[in-house]
Amino acid sequence: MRVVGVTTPLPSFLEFSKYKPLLLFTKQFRKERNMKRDLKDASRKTLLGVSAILAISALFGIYAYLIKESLPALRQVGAELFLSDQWYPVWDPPEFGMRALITNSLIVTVFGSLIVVPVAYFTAIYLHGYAGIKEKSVIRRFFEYLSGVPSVIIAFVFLRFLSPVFPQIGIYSPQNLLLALIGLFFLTIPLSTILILESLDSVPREIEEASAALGAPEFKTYTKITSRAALPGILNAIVLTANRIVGETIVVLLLGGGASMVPQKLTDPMKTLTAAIASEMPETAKGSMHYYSLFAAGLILIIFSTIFETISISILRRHKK
Amino acid sequence: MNQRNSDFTEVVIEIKDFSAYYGPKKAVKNANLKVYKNKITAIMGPSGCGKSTLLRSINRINDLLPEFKVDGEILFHGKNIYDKDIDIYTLRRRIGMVFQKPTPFPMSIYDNIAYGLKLIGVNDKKEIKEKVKWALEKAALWGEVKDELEKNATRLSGGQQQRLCIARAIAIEPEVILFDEPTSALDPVATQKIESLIEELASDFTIIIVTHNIGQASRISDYTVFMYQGEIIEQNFTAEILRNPQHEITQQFLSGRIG
Amino acid sequence: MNELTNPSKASKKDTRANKVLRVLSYSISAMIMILFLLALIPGLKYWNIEFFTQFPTDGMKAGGIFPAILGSFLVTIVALAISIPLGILLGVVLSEYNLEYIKFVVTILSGIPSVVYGLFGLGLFCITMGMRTSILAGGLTLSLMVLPVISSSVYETMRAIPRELREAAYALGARKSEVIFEMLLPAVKKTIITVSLVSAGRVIGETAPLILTAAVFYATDLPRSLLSPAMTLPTHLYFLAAAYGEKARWMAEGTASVLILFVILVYTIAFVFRREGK
Repeated sequence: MRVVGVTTPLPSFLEFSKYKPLLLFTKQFRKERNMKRDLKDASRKTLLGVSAILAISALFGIYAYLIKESLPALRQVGAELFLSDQWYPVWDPPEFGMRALITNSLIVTVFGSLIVVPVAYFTAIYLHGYAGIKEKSVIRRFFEYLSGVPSVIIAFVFLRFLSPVFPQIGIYSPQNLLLALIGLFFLTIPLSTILILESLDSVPREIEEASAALGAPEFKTYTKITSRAALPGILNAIVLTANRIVGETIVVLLLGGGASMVPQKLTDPMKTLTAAIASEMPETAKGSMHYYSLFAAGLILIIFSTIFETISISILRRHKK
Repeated sequence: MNQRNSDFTEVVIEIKDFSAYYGPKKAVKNANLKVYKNKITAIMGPSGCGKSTLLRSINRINDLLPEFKVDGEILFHGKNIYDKDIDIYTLRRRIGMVFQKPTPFPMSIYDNIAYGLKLIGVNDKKEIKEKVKWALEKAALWGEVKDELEKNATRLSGGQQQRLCIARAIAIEPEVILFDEPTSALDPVATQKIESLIEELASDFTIIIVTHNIGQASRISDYTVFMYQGEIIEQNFTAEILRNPQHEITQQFLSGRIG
Repeated sequence: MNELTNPSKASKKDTRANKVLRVLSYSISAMIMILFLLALIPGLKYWNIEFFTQFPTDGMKAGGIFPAILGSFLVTIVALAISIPLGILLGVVLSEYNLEYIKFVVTILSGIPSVVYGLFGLGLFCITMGMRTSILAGGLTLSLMVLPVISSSVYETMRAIPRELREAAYALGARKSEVIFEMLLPAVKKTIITVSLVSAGRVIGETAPLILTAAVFYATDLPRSLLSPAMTLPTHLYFLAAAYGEKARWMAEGTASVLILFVILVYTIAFVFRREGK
């Protein structure tokens, strides 16, 4: 038997020997025990198999279902869904152009990531390279708690305490793109900081020491050498942050202001795909064209997030090689 | 190598009553040692004896570790490198280092060397090119890589990577080069190449090498220090210490009974 | 040795970088702290027995949030009762049977926006399966949503178990299922508890899917069964913030403080288990 360095608890199937030491050698006992083992083994295998099949079919169902439910809209409204900015689903005649909603989703994703990623990166550099052990764990704990705060609470706090400030400084819409971006910043800063920090921390210490041994200052080492070695992890953090933003609902719904047109400036109100689904679906007649077109909005979202996640997986996979 | 004993004249580094701690653990205990110009000094001993810690204290690379503390002095040309007014970046440029595992940066071969040059303020492209070539030639790597300088350095073989790291260290022309078990991760052929390279480098640089390999110390070093459990047990000219070890622990180590 | 003692440009720059980065990190941390305090403190003064035991009355001007607490509790129980066992089993299958392609699918599913799960739950559970807007539909939807998250985390945990532990078990003559259930799962028990608690934190605060599948503005009765609609804490906060304005602000603040305290509590326990699991 191999001697291994890990202390291994004695599995329960061996523990019988504690109280039935003599029985162990009888044929009868071995036979019974093997049957029990076989039965247990089979039932556990079945359990694993069934749970896998159940879970996977439930999960695959989502794609099929979304496609099925958005087909009527894709057929009837057709290309107009993606080419028109006119989203007036409850007018007569209704219009179902989602281009503005799609554009807005992309705007918050791009601008949100542009704000949050650099801040997350430099915070992670500080925590990785400069912060003391205690300091690092305290600040990290802050971020971890924030990552658990429901988005509805973040949205509420900014709606309650920051939004009323806008009219006072001459901005007509108290809820707007800027406010939504601020909310999204706090929503995603923990995720992106922790992901970047973990990828920086996983860079072998020797490479950093080699750079320092050449006389490189720490900041240069961390930004040039460590960051380059951690690049896949950093890219992955960016992609996952973008994915989090594009799918976020409540923050953009409560803070964005809800106008279904493309904002011309930071202080204009706006509405995204997710906000449209959450705010309009509860008041939509099942089976109406509005209903189907909101499913089409869901389909677009699922495509975005599938693309983001696929990029993330392929970055990490290539990195492993 | 005895014939060279006479020219042990100029002291570059003097370690005086030096101790180093990781938190409460004392890793080096009251070390005293003189390192001579253009000589190869080997620090030898079983693993965990503090030899790497001592080496890594000489260019203050251990400052990067939290909870690392020192006592005593390491004098570099008579100046204590642990004085408050020392600029550690300049210090590390003067005292280069090559590590146990090859540490190529994740960039091209050329950029690996250019990185260090840019750090010391060499920005002229022609000058960088010349120095890259010079360093690679000096490290006996130029012939193998001259046509693929843009190749990612992480794709070189282990021995090539280590020679690249040596090239990178000498490109910025330090006075002293520290080697921390530079061949322990390499095969015998690559090891032999690195060893002869280190011997050649001694004509231009002062070298300190940590090794747990007695053969290696005997092959290349002029002066040998034997450490055990954080203490310097014995030090002497290499030939001397191998032929006639004074201390019992040294004898046991040399005969392979500890190590 | 002047050269060694003159602070180089590099050293000055680095000191400056250190300072700037410290200020950045500290100000972000301070802002996070303020955010927590703003969510927690204003609502604390409304805490009394009535607030936790009464229905909202008088157009949200008075009363309490009892039905929302109860609703959140029920939805969370349903969601976790399904997703935790299933998620653990799926994670185990993915890691121990090397199902790379299914892992790929699960990873993609863990990134799908929660509102899309809401759409799916609405269509499938509420309409097609006839559950209507109900606790069961909401719980099922949320369980689907966290299932890939739980199984991905369990997968990572199992993968981190040293190979030697498996080899030692097989060397004793154990079968694969015995190794999984009697050696590997017990070895990562604490981490799995952490994963479950973090998922619980996420389920408690999830809003968008519940707006679509389970929640009502206002309930006059307590839910009679799992097929009744319910109020929940996050959706209650959302409706109050979105539609009620000034007069219900006190209740929104109170709800926010209860909700954030729940989440902090769950996460604190999770972190304790994580530390022990290491």
